[in-house]
Amino acid sequence: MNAIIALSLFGISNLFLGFLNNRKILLPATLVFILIALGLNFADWNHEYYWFNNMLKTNNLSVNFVTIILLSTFLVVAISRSFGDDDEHSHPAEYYAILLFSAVGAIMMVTFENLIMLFVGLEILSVSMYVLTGSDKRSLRSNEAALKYFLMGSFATGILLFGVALVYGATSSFDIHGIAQGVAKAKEQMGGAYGPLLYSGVILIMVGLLFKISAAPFHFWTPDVYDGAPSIFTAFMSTVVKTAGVAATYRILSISFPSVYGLWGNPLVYIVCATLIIGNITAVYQQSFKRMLAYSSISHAGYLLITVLAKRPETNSSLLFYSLAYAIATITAFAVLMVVSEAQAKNGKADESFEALNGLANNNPLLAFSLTISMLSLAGIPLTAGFFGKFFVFSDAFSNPSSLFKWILVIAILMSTVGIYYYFKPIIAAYMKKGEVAKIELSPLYKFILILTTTLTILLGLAPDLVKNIF
Amino acid sequence: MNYQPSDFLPILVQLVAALAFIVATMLATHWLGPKRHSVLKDDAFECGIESVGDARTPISVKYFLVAILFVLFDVEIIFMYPWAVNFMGWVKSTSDVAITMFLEMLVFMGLLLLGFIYVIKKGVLTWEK
Amino acid sequence: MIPFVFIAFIVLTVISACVVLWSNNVLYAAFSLLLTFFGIAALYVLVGADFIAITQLLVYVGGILVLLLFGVMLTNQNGNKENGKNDIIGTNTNRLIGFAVAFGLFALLFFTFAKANFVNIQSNLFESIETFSTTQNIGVLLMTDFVLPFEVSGVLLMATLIGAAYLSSKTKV
Repeated sequence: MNAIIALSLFGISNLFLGFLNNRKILLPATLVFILIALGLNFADWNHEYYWFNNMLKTNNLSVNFVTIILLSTFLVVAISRSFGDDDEHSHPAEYYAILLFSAVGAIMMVTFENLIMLFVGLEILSVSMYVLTGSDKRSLRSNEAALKYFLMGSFATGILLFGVALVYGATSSFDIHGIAQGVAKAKEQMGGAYGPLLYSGVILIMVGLLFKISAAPFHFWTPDVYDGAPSIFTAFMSTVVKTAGVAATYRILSISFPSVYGLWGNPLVYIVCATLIIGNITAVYQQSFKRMLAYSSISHAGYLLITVLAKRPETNSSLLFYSLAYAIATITAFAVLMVVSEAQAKNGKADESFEALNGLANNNPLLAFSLTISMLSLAGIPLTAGFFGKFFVFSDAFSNPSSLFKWILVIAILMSTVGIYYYFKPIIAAYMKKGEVAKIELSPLYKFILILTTTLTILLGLAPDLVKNIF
Repeated sequence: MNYQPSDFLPILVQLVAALAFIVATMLATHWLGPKRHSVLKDDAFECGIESVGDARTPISVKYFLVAILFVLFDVEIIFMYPWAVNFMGWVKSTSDVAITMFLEMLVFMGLLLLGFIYVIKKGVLTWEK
Repeated sequence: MIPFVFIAFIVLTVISACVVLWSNNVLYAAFSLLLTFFGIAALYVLVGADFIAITQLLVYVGGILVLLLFGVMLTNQNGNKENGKNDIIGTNTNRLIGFAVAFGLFALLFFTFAKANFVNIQSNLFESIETFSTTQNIGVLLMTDFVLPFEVSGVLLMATLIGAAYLSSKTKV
């Protein structure tokens, strides 16, 4: 909770630090700010606490989610390299400030206790992302992506708001525990059935949230937006926004609507299957590494939703572990993509296709190795964090007594094997294909982050209990 | 405090008055203005140079920023309105309550004001550089 | 009297909304959107939501619409070649999909409201026209129970302000 206040203030101070005309100071300052917020976040550890008349609630689960969000933000800021030296076209003070504001929104989305907080948090996160998507004002594709994201995103927020209003009509409460009581009461009065207000409300809330985490069939914006946005913000979008969105979905479905499981569970089954199939199959056909990562993020939303759907006691920890493994691997992949695509730029345009990676291993062993580990982790190969993430998710689904989950598992495992095919493409390009990538000079911080994330991925793959016991 | 829908009638009246004023003045100038017709005056008359360009060229994007700022502070006013309605009540109850409420609004205003100071310092609103 | 006024405003809202949909001229659409917003504000007054009505008038009619008209003025189009006027003419594409989505949403909401049993619904809709003003209650709640969302929406507005200033400020290309 204190992290929210601190990050808001830090965001403002970042803006005013920008007037010093010294862009070197911004990166370390932002990193320190995030570390302070992380420290404040741990102050809530092992307390269950309600803030401001039940607006927010912090417990160990939310502290863990906030940690993942702040860690991802930290890594993204660390690989941002102060956004180059171009004073005319890049404005790091604004970017860092807006990133901190969006972290505020994301934290609210994982700690909310009242649907109003969910809405405001989602709005802060979305508005910041619209701006950051269009931050490259010279690039036509960035502008197009921002406009698309803005139009569709605001429509989805409207639908979410409609759902909230209808649920309020059915249960006369905005509080997520109050809604659970209202649902139980309404069910009692109607003899086990649920009214149309609740039905439509839950569906509309789900649509609004699933849009934000780009689950099929609400995923159409994802490839264009992820492709058009500057890579660094795509990395932020596919980790922080996704983690916050899944956490919010899980929070509201598991706390407010556990007694009406059939109502949201049945549509979610189809959504999960569609997300897995569309995300993985379409990713196979991509020529661009960045676009492939966009589709991969769709498919990972599908895996994350499996455990939300399974509704086991272990869901908390599986969700946390998967989000962590996915966030670290994705940020590593984007870190490699960013430097390589800039080094391979043609006519001043960054080359984000698979061909840009050809022969990467010859001169840049560290980049190639990090890329390999992150791809293996995303594919779910043993000895990486991604394997255990998938393992925990699948075992949640397996331990659910419903026979439906066997079929979901079959689809999920089939699609994971499809995933292995396209995740190996960049690895093959980097090691086997003929090509020349000049030696890329990396700053010490950049190297450190690459080594850190790669080590973490392997460490979590060897000893998942290290963090699994905390979660 | 109760109200009736008819309490909002003045808004409608004002709208009608505003529209009626425009229509009335336009009609009045047509009717009241002296008109003298003659063969020569009504004759088609052409001279001068060809007009260049377009009267409706796109205007500067800076106007748009002003419009956005206006909407944002409009929203802020909406938040202030229910606060202001209650404020005298709070002042009359206890001074502690009034100070708390004042500080809460001050934090909200302060956030927006800091944003506004940033915009001004950044020189976004300066017209000519 | 009240039912008559109510129906009159509904007709105004619906007709002007239809004009927004069918008019190809963006300026005409913007002006009839003004009437739509105004009609909705009047409907809010009639159902007893006075604060939302004021918000609708102040923000939508007063703010958003000005923004919209500015957008029209900023748009660069070299006029309509056929009749020599320089109106901004929009085109309708994907009518079928748009219609399907709109109709689906309408059907969903229509059946939801038609079948819902609201707790405090009045049997005689137009009887009680003496309504309790909501503004004062909203003010008290905003400053006590909902003070955190209130302050945080300050952060939201500030982030929007900075984002808007960043995106629309001029940088040399």
